[in-house]
Amino acid sequence: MERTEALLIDNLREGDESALAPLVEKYKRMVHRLALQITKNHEDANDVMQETFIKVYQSIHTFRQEATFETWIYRITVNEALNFVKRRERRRETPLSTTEESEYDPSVRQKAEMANDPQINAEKTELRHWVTKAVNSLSLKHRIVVVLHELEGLTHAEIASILNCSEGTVRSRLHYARKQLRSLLKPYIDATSNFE
Amino acid sequence: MKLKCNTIQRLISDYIDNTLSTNDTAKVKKHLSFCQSCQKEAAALKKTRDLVVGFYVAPEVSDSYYHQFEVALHRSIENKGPTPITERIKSLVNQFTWSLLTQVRQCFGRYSFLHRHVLPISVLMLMIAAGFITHLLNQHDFLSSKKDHGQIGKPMIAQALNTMDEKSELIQGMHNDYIMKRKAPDQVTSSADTANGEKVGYWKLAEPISTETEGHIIVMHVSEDRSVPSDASDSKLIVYAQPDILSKKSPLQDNGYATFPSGIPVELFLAKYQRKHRQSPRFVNKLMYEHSKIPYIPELYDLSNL
Repeated sequence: MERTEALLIDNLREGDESALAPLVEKYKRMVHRLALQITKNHEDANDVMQETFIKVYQSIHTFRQEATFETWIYRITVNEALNFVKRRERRRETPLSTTEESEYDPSVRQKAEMANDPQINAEKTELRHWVTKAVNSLSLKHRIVVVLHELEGLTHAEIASILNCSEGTVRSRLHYARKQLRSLLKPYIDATSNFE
Repeated sequence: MKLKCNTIQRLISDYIDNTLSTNDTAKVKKHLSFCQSCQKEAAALKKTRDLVVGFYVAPEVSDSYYHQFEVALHRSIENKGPTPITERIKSLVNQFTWSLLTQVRQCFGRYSFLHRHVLPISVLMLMIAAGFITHLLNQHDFLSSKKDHGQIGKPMIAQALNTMDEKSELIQGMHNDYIMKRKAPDQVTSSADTANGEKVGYWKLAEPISTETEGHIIVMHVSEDRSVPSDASDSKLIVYAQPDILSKKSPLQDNGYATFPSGIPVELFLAKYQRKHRQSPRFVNKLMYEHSKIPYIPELYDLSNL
């Protein structure tokens, strides 16, 4: 019988190690995606993902039901990823300039589209390239808000709880980030109607 | 009109997310109905959002990558094992502290005045605290002596000196006298007796003090070169007293002070002390010789700084 998330959490609290695997299965993609978007480095993202799930396993007894489990994992991931970024900056390593597009495997959907209509899909691919590049060129604090709000679909309140800041700060960062993205994507903004 | 547009444009981001209140939504909608510049801004931001949502390529990795990760994670967790109980307790304490801090922060948030002026208020409170401490130190006249000589310890227990107390006045006088003597290097280094026959560096005792004083009597010895001598027969004797704070410390081992329990004749105590400290008979003899000069001071000072 498949265990519910609440039951898995309870089991993990009681020390049942087997309860971790289904939770990892459910959240691994989200954690990895977020870690990679923040660190912009595959190796760091892998370490962040590992640290996140170890922390989930070790600190499950500190999880209070005030927030959802998902928000809790988001918070751990963001904190771990920020720690990695800070550590890397302290070591003065050059971060990967923008998330190297070549590092991202083109998604399955993208590959399929390319096969269908090369003309339109080449344009779409170019647009994806520039949008991704624009988001990745944002400063860390603005990028996190954009990723969590626009891509992960979290509310302002949830983001504020994850980043331990006020909702006003989240709103302001999002607004600023959008304005920046708008100027970065100016040439494409008018052309979007072609793809709608 | 310009200001109005600025105000509206700050709300546009929330407007396109539908996270504004009904009232604000109505205001923005009304403004957009006649302001072309804001209309353009809203349309551009909405398109930007749609572009990001629709065309951003989220990083993806293969299933084999996740499989490898899961294996590594399992191994790592097996090695680390469950959290030890101490870590759990620590994390619970952390959790409690953070929760408390959050509540305090929220509480501050309610009082916007405090929140806005937290820095000046903190500085003001620090200044008041510093002023109070300075006042206490000045009252004992020990601040200046410490600055001049770095020899007299700072008060460990800020018991206010009762200036009306006759004994306290006596001790204060003795202390000042001692400080004056310390200020004259020739006299301090001289081992010769002064004109009135008292040893230099000792506290001048205006009158014999009863050894039956309440509390403990602490005898301090300090050598000329500031070190604790192996045999303190040539050391200086400075006397302090403090009820029930220090006890059973060897003058030769613990910064050089001894305590005399109250209610016991000093001779009896010294005899006991002599048995305990056979290795330093000369110092004990000196204590026995000097004990009648022991005064009572209703305060304790940090003897280790002497």
